[in-house]
Amino acid sequence: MHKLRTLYRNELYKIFRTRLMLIVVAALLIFPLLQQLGRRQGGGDDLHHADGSWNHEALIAMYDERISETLNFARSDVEDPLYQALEVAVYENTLASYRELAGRRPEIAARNFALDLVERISRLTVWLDPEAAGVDLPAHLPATELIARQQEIIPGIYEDPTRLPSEREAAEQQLAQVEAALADGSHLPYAELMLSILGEASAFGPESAGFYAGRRACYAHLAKRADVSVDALYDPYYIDNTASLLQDISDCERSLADGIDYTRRLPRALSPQRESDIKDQLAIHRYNLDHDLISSSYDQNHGESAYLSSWMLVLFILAVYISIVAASLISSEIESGSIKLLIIAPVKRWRIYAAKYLALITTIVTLSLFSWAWLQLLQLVIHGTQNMPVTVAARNGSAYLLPFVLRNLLDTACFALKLLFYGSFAMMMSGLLRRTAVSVGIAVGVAFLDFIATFVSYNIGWQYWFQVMPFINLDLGNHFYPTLLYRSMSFLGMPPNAAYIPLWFAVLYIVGFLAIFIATGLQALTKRDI
Amino acid sequence: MMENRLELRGLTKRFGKRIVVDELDLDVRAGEILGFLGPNGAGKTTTIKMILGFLFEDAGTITIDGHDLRRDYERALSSVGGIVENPEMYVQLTGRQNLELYARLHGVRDRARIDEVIRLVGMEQRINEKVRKYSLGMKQRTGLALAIVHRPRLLILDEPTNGLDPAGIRHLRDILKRLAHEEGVAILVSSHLLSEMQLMCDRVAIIDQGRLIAVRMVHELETAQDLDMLGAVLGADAAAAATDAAGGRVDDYDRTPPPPAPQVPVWRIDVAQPGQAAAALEAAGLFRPAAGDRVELPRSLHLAIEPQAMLQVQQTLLANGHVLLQLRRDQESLEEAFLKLTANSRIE
Repeated sequence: MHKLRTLYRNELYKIFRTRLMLIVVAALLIFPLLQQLGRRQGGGDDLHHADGSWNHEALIAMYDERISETLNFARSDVEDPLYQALEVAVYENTLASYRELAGRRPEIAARNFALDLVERISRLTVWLDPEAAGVDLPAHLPATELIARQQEIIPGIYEDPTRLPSEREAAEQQLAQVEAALADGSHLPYAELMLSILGEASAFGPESAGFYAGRRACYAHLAKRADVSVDALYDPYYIDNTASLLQDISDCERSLADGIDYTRRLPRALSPQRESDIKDQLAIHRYNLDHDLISSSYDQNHGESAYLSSWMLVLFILAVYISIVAASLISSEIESGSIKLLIIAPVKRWRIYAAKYLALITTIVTLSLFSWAWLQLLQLVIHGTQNMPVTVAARNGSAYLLPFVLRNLLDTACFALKLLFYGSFAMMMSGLLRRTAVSVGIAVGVAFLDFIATFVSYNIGWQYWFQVMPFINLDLGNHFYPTLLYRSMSFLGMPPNAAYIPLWFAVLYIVGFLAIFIATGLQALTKRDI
Repeated sequence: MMENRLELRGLTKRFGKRIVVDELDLDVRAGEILGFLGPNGAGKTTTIKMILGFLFEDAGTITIDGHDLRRDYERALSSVGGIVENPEMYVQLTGRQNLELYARLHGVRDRARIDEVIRLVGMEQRINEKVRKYSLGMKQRTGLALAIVHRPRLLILDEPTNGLDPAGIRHLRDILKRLAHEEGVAILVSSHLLSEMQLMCDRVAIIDQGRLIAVRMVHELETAQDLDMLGAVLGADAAAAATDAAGGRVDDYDRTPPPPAPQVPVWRIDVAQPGQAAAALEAAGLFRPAAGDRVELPRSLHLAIEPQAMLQVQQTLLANGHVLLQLRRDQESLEEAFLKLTANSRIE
């Protein structure tokens, strides 16, 4: 036992007393710090001042950019020349009126709904009188034929062209109401107003119907609530996230009612396992909605999103570092010849291997815990206690709250497991190839591929064969709560589909592959000449 | 004699199809220094690597201090100290840290012992520097300290004089002799420095192409009778082959002068200025430079001259003001014996 301990201490010393370790620790300290400081300054989307209040100029710039993008899209990507001319005119018009509005009333112009209104009025103007709006139409095309063409291109764009003047009047009225509501400082009339506008919005055509339906549901929800903050209501992130949450709830409910899984890209029949997963998901969604745990753009800078971005950075640094260390554990000693010192000593080779593996585990655990502690501290000190992100988990269809620190410890454990997997693989390659450069290259490459594969696996998760590839099924925590990786994928707009393979399989799988890696590496060291 | 500390029986190692060590039987006894001689590629290092656990033997047994290496690995190796090829250590650690690590693996925690071996190999000044900064000679010294820190009963050194300066070599020789003759350690030394082996070893085992050719006491090997006897063992044409092979392979043994032509005896003439002395002899017509049988070393001349001219040589040197420090007939050295024995070998 004392031999193993001596070897182990030697390995630890070699790993920790290196310049590389110093660089990694510095990177782990500095990069998340800079990242979080930047977010505190209102970096990232720039929508907030440092004190958390809205940055109207930034908001205006953001909307300005959005409209310009749409304009460019209309110019380049719309094929029908007539439709293109109309769309370009609509958005040029929108941009002009929007800029005017922004100049006159920045606090209104900055707000989501104002943009909707401006666009709507602009659209009406153009459609009613294209020539007045400066659309360069073919000369022989009378207005009635134009509307007929529009209906061809976008079926049902207007049921009855005679209604158009009243539409315009209505829109202008609504704008006045909006301004009044804003002056009033109350958000409930606003939400109701939006609801009434959007009630008609499906007339804009099928391609926007889904979007408006989602928005409508969202405002319908918000109109019923008195506890939603005014800022949140004007917050595009908050609105979008509420809308998608409502969409998720509706998908889950429909899935459970129909026995068909609508929550994935391709709907398919609901298995009992999946059914209980969806029940859990539904419980989580409802809990989030009921407790208003909906990410806002303020959270983008200070809450979960900020926290996750640092974790992704840490994961990346550590995955590369652990791969490098593990991939040189055996080969570098053989290359440099220093392994002779251990071979000549009266120690069996499995002890050397065990000491190295234990040192690797220690390194992974130490660095993971170190990162965990540092990120907690950063979150607390930079963003304050009120911004500690929480996660809702569910079991047997009932949801519960995971406290920040506990959840992050669980995340760390999942994360460490992933690193252990990378490390074990890298160490096996090190023992097999005995060439540091090659094994480091392969190990880092595989870790990198795994990052990509993780994205892919979340998106083609229904393909069973993909689930049994090495490295894919490492997010064991997904069977219990939405893990770091799972939440990151959500934030990246890739709704995760994980945790559909049984837990026993995932455990068996991880243990199996780890055993293969360890056994192969051990054989490569103990059964071959040096 | 005393008991065997190392017993090799039928030891065989193949690399692919090539047999590198072929049914080797060898004993190293307590209290002796056994020189392990052979040309490059003869299988010396391979044998040592098998004894120390680097390589797995294909057949045969290795018994160290009564323990079978394969059956009782850690106990067998616990009584061995050694250096294979170059002494390798963790370059990022200091010499002392390496020493402490290795000692702990042997269960030695005695700081006094560690200090003692550091002093023994003369590394007190530099032992706390990182090994990265060491010269090869310093590594050799530290390597020797490592090899003996746990008081091994068997010491195996692969080319230990590599990189040592002459004083270091002499120091090493003294240490090894004391360990063997006073403390009863069995020592196996392989080396290319044959003159060193001659000075250091008690017995010499000669290995060629993986096979043990002869084991002799060093003084036996220096006598002509023994060479004849070994020549007979090797076969009738070994002597003829030796002459051809010697010319082509002296580069391997660059510390020793090439063997002179055998017909005219070679004389070793020690003078203060060998160059001037040679010129004087040449001017007197006693020695023709074209003959190519002249070797000039810093302190001595090695010239092939007929014995009847030797009186004239001495007189010429004295007349030219050279004090003759020593004059003797060069004996056929171990070098030549070695080359003869392994004449038909190739380096693979």
